[in-house]
Amino acid sequence: MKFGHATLLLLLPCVGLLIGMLTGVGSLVIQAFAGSQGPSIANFTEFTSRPEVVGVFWYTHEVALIVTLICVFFSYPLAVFMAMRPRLIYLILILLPLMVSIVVRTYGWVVLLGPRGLVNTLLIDVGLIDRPMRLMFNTGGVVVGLVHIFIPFAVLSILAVYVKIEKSLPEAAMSLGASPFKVFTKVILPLSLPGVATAATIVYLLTLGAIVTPLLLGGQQQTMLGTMIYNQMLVYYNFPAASASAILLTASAAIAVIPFQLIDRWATRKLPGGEQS
Amino acid sequence: MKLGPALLTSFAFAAFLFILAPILIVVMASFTPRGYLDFPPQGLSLKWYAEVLGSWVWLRAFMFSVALAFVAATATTFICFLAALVTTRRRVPGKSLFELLVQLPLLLPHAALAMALFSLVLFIGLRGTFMGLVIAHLIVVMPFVYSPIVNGLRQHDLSLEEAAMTLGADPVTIFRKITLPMIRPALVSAFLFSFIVSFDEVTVSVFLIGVDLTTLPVKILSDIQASASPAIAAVSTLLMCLTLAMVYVVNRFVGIRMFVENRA
Repeated sequence: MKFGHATLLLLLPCVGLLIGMLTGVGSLVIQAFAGSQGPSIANFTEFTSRPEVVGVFWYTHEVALIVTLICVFFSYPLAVFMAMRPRLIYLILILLPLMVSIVVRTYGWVVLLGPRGLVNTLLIDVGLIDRPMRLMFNTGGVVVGLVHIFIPFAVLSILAVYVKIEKSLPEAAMSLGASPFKVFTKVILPLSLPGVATAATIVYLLTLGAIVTPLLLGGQQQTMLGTMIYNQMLVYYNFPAASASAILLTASAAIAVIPFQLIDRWATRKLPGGEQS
Repeated sequence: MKLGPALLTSFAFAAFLFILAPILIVVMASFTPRGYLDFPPQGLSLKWYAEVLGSWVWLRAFMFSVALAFVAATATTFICFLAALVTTRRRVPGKSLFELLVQLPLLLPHAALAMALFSLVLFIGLRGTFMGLVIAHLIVVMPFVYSPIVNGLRQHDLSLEEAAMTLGADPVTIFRKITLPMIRPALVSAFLFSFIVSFDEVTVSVFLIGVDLTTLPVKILSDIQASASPAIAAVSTLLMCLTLAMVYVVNRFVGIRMFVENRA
């Protein structure tokens, strides 16, 4: 088929969607900088002048960092296992939860960790405790829920890079007398580092933007930026404040993932043939 | 060295258990005969399923979600197919910017994306309407649709189309008899995947629902906050069955492995 200039018209519907998206981003920015008299940064100074709001900001990044570290730490061995035994069933076990709505998966944790949940009931029945422990509505509950929801993304990112590692490289290192520990730290880990960096980026971004899980497992005490935006918008109807929070969220996310991107670039450059890519 | 693999295997199974536990718990909880969630369930009962299936509110939310996901998935698949046909076959000025923007919904933190789409829908005066939700969902699922279609088109062999052309076939015939059949698996998987993403979506939808217009996941979210009725578990289980059926279809058509390959 010939693709002349007229075929560019086929792009129009998609470009229309993109223009719509950018209109949304644009009007969000305008809202955030809107003051009573002309443009102002009042919404942002309002944000930074309230210690509890600044606290939410740092708390969100703290949770994101914890969730990212846990996700990467646990998903690496899982990805290694899946690469060593490439069976469809393991892949399905990782992919299925991704297809189940976040609400449903978080609800599972509410049922497990709630005051009358499975964990508390079991511990009381066994006699280890005599009244329900507080397992959710705290940081621990939020972290467990978020790790559970985002770990499949981390596993898939690491797996995608890990399966591409040339098998002959660790074998060569081994035959030259390197210990298994050395093979791992000097060969396998550096080669799979780009996958780790991708996993960390994805999980960090997803955690920063999460609303549902911190809302259900954190409650009102453990507010994160996502839940704060939710409250500002749907409880207090403060559109300008919510817009300013959304912009600060996006800007801080862009800055926060820079280290992961630097690791990715550095690791890719050290790979054979990495210079060109 | 024998210990290593055994350790890894037991770790992996513990991790799989962790990943599956909350999902299995929801299924178990849906069969409880009591009015609240208790463990282990005292007997089995289908009464929460009866309650859910007999409830007009749940049924309406379900039908609304299906309609929304169907319209959003169909339209996005069509729109992205048209765009991908152009970007994979000819030079397009500003192509890398275009593809970056298509991926932007995935790169923005979800809460910020939700706010941006909320602003858009408010701007065009469609908040609380079906069309407003459709427009927002079109943008949310766009990156999930565009990439598989582009990958599908890249894999397919252009020389077949050229051969048909030299043999005198007209463009419409070539498209119907060669291009479309070859790209069909990618289109089907893009459609089903975007259907699932739209059907499960809650973070964006929660900002856009209307007074008596709510999607199933948003209804579940507000019910969890309001009550602890096992009916929520029954709805969630039904929702999962639907998703499972769709994953099964995806696997039959294109193989589930494409999810991993797409990320590489």
